[in-house]
Amino acid sequence: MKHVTLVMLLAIVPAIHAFTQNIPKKHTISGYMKDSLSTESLIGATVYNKVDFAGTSSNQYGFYSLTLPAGNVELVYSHVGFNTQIRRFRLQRDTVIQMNLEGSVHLQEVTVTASRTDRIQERTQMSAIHVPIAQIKSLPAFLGEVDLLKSLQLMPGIQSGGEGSSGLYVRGGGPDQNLILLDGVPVYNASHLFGFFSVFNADAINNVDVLKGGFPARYGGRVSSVIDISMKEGNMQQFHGEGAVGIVATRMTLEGPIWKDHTSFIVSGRRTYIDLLAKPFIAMSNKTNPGTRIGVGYYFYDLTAKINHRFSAKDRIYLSAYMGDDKFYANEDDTSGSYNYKYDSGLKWGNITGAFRWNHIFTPKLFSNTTVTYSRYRFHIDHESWETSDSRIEESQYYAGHYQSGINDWSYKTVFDYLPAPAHYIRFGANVIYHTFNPGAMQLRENTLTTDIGSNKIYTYEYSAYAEDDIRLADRLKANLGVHWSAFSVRGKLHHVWQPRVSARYLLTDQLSVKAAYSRMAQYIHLLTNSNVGLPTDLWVPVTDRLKPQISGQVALGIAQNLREEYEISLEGYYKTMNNVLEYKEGASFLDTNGDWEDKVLQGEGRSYGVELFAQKKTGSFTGWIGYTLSWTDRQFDGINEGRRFPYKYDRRHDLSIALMKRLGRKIELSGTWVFGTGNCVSVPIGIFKVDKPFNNNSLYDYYYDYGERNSYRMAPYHRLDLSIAFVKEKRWGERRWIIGAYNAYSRKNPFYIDVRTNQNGRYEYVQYSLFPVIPSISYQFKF
Amino acid sequence: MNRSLIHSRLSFINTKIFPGICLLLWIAAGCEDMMTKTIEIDSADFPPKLAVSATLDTDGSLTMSLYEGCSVSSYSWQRSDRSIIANGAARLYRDDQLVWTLTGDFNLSLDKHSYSSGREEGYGYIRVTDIPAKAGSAYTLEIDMDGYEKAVSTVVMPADPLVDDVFLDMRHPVEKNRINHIAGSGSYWPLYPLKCTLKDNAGGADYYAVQIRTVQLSNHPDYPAYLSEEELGVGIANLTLIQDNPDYEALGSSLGDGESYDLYMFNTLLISDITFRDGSATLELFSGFPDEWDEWNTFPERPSNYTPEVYGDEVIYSYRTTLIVKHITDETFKHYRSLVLQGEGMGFFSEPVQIASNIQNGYGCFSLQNSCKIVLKEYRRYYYPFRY
Repeated sequence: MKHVTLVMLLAIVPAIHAFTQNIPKKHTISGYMKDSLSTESLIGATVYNKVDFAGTSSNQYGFYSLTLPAGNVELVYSHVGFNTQIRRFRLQRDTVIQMNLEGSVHLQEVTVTASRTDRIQERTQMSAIHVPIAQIKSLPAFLGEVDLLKSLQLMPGIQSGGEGSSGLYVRGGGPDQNLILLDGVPVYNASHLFGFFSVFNADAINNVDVLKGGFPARYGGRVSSVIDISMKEGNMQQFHGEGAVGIVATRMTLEGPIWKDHTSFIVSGRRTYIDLLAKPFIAMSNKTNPGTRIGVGYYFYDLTAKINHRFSAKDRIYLSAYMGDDKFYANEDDTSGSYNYKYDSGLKWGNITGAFRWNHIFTPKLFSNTTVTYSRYRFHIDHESWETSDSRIEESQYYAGHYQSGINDWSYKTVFDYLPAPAHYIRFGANVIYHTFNPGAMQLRENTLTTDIGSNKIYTYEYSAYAEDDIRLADRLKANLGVHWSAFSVRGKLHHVWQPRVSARYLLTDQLSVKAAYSRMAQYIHLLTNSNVGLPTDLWVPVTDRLKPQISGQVALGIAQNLREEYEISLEGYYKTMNNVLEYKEGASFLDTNGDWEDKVLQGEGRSYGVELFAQKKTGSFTGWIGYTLSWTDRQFDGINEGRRFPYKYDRRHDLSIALMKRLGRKIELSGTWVFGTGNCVSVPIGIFKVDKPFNNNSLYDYYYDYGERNSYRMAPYHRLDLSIAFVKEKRWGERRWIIGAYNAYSRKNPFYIDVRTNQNGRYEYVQYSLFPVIPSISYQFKF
Repeated sequence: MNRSLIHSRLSFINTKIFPGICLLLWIAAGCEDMMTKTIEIDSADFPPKLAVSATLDTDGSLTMSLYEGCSVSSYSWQRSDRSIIANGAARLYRDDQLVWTLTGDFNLSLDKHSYSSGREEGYGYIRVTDIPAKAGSAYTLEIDMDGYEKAVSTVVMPADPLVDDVFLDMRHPVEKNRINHIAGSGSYWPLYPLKCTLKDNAGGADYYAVQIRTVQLSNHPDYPAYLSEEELGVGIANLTLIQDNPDYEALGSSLGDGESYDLYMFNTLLISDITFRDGSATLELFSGFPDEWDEWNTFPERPSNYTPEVYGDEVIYSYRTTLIVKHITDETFKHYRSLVLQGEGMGFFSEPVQIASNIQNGYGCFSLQNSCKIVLKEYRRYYYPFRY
């Protein structure tokens, strides 16, 4: 018996050995993909093997990993706007290839757009927008300032609230339902000057990705969209700079190596100078009124900085920060008579963010990123006044008021990218955020008496974890399956929500695919916003033991097609439900600091559905896109409109955007955008009546308005044409551009607000207010 | 058009002149007042409607004011001054039985029914005092005026209010503080705490209105009562709700710091149903009495040797302070709440408020109140008209 066993072993072992020798061994090719000129990471660049078409794409830090069978490989590296590179070699071991792609001088020189995996019909992700920064910079600029968020508003499904409104409204969602990340740090107020400019300086931005639906599991915290903005890292080889001088603002960006190939920096700043320009005129006015001095002004600035250090091929750290403020001030000093007064008032709001990140490559298949971040948004109003009488000093009066609101976050996050095989791209991670909410506190001082009014701070923790896998199930079928779990701890109560995420893509042909997605999202913080206009006074508040988290469920279905490698067309339909959305109660106002904010709000539900068409030409001397959205969105709250469903203010039935860019040789660039949107829904008084004040023997009455159904009046459509022309000249030191543009070129009076007033005949009439006529601009831009 | 032509024409733009033109255009655009315009709103064009303020109380009184509501586009100051309500009929039904009717020109005096002399600006004001009203009955008010759509409202009279444990503490007046401070003078109203308990009727939604009223009466025709009910309301009571239910909802005026005259008028505290968490709510009120603050009251003391022949008839002013608790409907509460919210709104910075109404084809409210009155204090002051 022993001999039989021995013979069997002697026969089996070699057979097993021979068998395993025939299984092809696999090795992993990994590395970073970068722009050869700027050394910036290329996000979403693709690499695939021409032999078996197995491929992958680079992550947010430019890292890629592709596991292939040993043997001959032919790797194609590509990215839109860059020349493709091909590497042929025999794969015999794990290999690191740091790939630097050369950017094309002009987009029309890119002859092959991208590999299979980069084309719209190939990607599993639907409801996504990627606009190259170069294209954003070529769009018409308002007052000479290129604006990232305004460019996104040209995409289907993303609306602005109109002039004077700073938020983004994505697929019927509110302005607080967008997760805006700057290098992974949430930014709470992304606008300057009431929505005219975003806080993001396009010169410092490397990449922007927007998701409106089909959210992969790695994203969470907001229910309507993710706007993921990555800053540049700084050129590790050479010093460069660019800047611009415009009518209202100047900006400057500098980048370069601190230690070549190891450490780089980028610093970018911007400031307006309307206040500085106005100062001489104000001084002249003061001279005509001796004894009285008036000062008034407005400015904003932002400052972005980043340092990036590469310890080794496996370890990198990044340190980035953003700081920006808007300030409006007014003061007056009157000492002309025996009664003197002085007052100082100011309105200030702004963000500070900071992030420390460490990237580590454990193995060629396992990449990690650890991030610690800080984010603070704060708004405050200050007023001080002094009144004195020369003859009666004892009647001197001092008044002061200070109102402040805001939110602070500290966050820790660790995420992993694991690519075990070409058919799988696994991501998982966890995050914890410590929030401090200050939902509005006021301090009043009258001489020596101080009174504090308003809400106390609220301290909370937010936790999340996720796992997802991007799977190639078959040659034509890919899916992204994942789950996101999040929890929120506040006032002894723990809210938590499981959020499944599923998306899939099926290739009908090589050029045409059908996609579907379902995602459930949860949100634990809300923005209380006045329904008439978005202001920096809007309050960020958390869910509490009385207020539940917002939860949305969205289903999307679409088709995507690539035509002749030059055009991309997508058609998508979606249906979204939102539960526990927040709204101020009837009559409530953020200015009223009496009582708790929780008593001023209601929770209800919303729904939104529609169809989006997007057609884009990405290459050539003539590029651009058309986006059209047909949508409906409404809300229902038990305490508003007597519980009846009503249109959401931003229920824009039709939304059309056209953006066109044309190059005339190397020296002239033309661009224009035209936007059209159905008007916003608002509540206007339709009737007026008088009734008695109750419980007073009927001898007192007053007049009141009848508003009819909530948001029953639709304002006039919004449409606007922006034009710009750029004159480019190459210089010895770099490049300069003169850019001349016109915002609202045909001076359309787009509605901002409707009010009722009495005319000179004593009759009541409706008046529509608009904000901006045609605004021409000129700016000088340079790059070296 | 060939490229060279385009370039040559566009090259003009690449000169110093063009930016200057742009700058002038920008300045010119800012100078013109282009940013407002008058617009028409079609949906706001509708025929005028009746605005009804009617109250039926279990003490038998029915009071009603009729006004007109119209579209904003057709409204004007001149129109608001005009007497609009004219011929028509008002009918009140109890459980489908007609109990009261009034027909004719509502602007003329009607000798069949009493009416208030408080007519101002030509609107119809009706006050009737003999309507039978009892809890549980359904009352329907119909108002049919020429030129207006018929306004109808049906409401059920609430159950009797459940009031208990009424206690007026005359021994411990309120200490001087913000509640009883008279702003600008350094003086304080004398106030006394009053407690009472309101209960929640099982199975229903309960809303209450609580008031304190003082009436001054005189026994002498030559010396009539000189304080109107409005004046007696001044400084009478500060009504607050003492409870620990964070969900309570109450509306009403309070003495506050004595700044606003309006706030004194007919102090009324309205309490909504959500206040009654465990079936009851205890109120603490503060009541003052006019004889203690009446600065006009400088009557001399009654002399020890008083005789009518020498000093004339006594003039006796009687004061009766009454706690009035009204069980009201949710419609009345919501109507009042909406009036307060819209009236206190901050315009552009506030959410719009729609005035709640239970009048079909009209505005306003038909309020039913089941009242209970508890006399808190009755006292007299004697006056002797000396001849100097």
